[in-house]
Amino acid sequence: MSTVVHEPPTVATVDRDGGASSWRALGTYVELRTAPDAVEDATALAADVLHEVDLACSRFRDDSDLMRANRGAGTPVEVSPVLLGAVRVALEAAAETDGLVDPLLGDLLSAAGYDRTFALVPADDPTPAALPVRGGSWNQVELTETTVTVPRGAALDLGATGKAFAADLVALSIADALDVPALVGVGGDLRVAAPDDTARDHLVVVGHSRADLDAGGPSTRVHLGSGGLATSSVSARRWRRGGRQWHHLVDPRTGLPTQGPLRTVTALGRTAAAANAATTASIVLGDAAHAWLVERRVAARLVGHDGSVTHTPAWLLAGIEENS
Amino acid sequence: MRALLSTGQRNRSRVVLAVLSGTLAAATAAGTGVATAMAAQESARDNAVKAAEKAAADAAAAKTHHDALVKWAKENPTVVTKDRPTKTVVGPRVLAKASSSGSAKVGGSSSRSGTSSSSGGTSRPKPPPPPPASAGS
Repeated sequence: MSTVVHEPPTVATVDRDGGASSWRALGTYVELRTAPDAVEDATALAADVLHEVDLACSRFRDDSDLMRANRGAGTPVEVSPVLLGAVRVALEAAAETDGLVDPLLGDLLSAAGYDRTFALVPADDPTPAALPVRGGSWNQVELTETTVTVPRGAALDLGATGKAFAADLVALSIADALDVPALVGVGGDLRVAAPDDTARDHLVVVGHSRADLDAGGPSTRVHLGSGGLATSSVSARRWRRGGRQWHHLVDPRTGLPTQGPLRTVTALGRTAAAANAATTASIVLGDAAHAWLVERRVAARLVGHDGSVTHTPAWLLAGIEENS
Repeated sequence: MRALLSTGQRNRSRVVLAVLSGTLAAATAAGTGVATAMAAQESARDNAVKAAEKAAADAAAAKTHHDALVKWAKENPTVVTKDRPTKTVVGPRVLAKASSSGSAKVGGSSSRSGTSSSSGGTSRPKPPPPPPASAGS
């Protein structure tokens, strides 16, 4: 086990023999599994890709392309290809879920107190939140080959699909540039990619939140061969503002944190972004999630606040969960 | 001539006088102490009031100076430019793969598990790294 410091400053713990590394980026944890002899190069490349994603897509740095686009709402703003790609994916997720996964919740989350990287958000701020009247709709976001136009009165926030898109980008970049297979996890959204597109077998632990797993909370083990796996949970990223309990999963129909019966949803997808769109929409849908997932043949595992676990037929058919 | 006081009476008078004198001296000393303590307390109170007044005056002066600086800064804006890193590592081919139509399409997909590779050998293999986690973050 060793530590590698890479420019931009990234301190990663690297297991050369096991082909594994982990570090923090985008305000969350990152995990990488790849060929042992490529793990250092893969870690360095992954850190560079995530730095580029941060410069393009962060809501918490004034010089990001996303913040420039938000400041220029109502007019086309020239942005980097990475932000264009991230917004394209976010808009497809919104269309796939009829707006349940909404990329225009930036102002709302900021007003509720999530206006800085989550580690700096006060756990309990008694100040009442003045929630904004939302302007514009996700289907009014306009993209060209080089520009994005955010509707006036709205602000982009790629929090829902952004980390999953980052996992997709990193895994594909490693497979493309280093010609080795890779599993990449960014904040729990996982993507497996390989140069020859063949399936591998990666054992993955699924739980409510990283903190819950570290504390010995309930978990299950699944085998991921290809594509993406995502988990959304209301157990993660929670804070109080003005006496109200908030978490990062907001129901765009009410503008408030989701209140449904589901605590955690895990799903497979062709990509991590697709899997994340399914899990985020499911948490918002609550009681209606299972039928929605079945109709779309999504392989998913749903855990309620009462601890009950249900699976979709596609999940059971995939046979990826140990002891299921 | 007959003495006004008998010897016994004189002795008692002397004792009484000594007691009275002593008591008076003690009372005088105590009174002086009390008066001195009260004066010191009053002096300390005066000093505290003066210190508070000085602190308030200093704070008011500092605020005036700060307001003047803010006003000056507004009237004399200075733009500080800072170059953003421009290194790009995400190539167009990868970007197209990651964001092509269907990238966020929900459903209709399942994970294909491959055969996990294993290597033979006589020595006990090193335990593999812990499995990565998929959990809300």
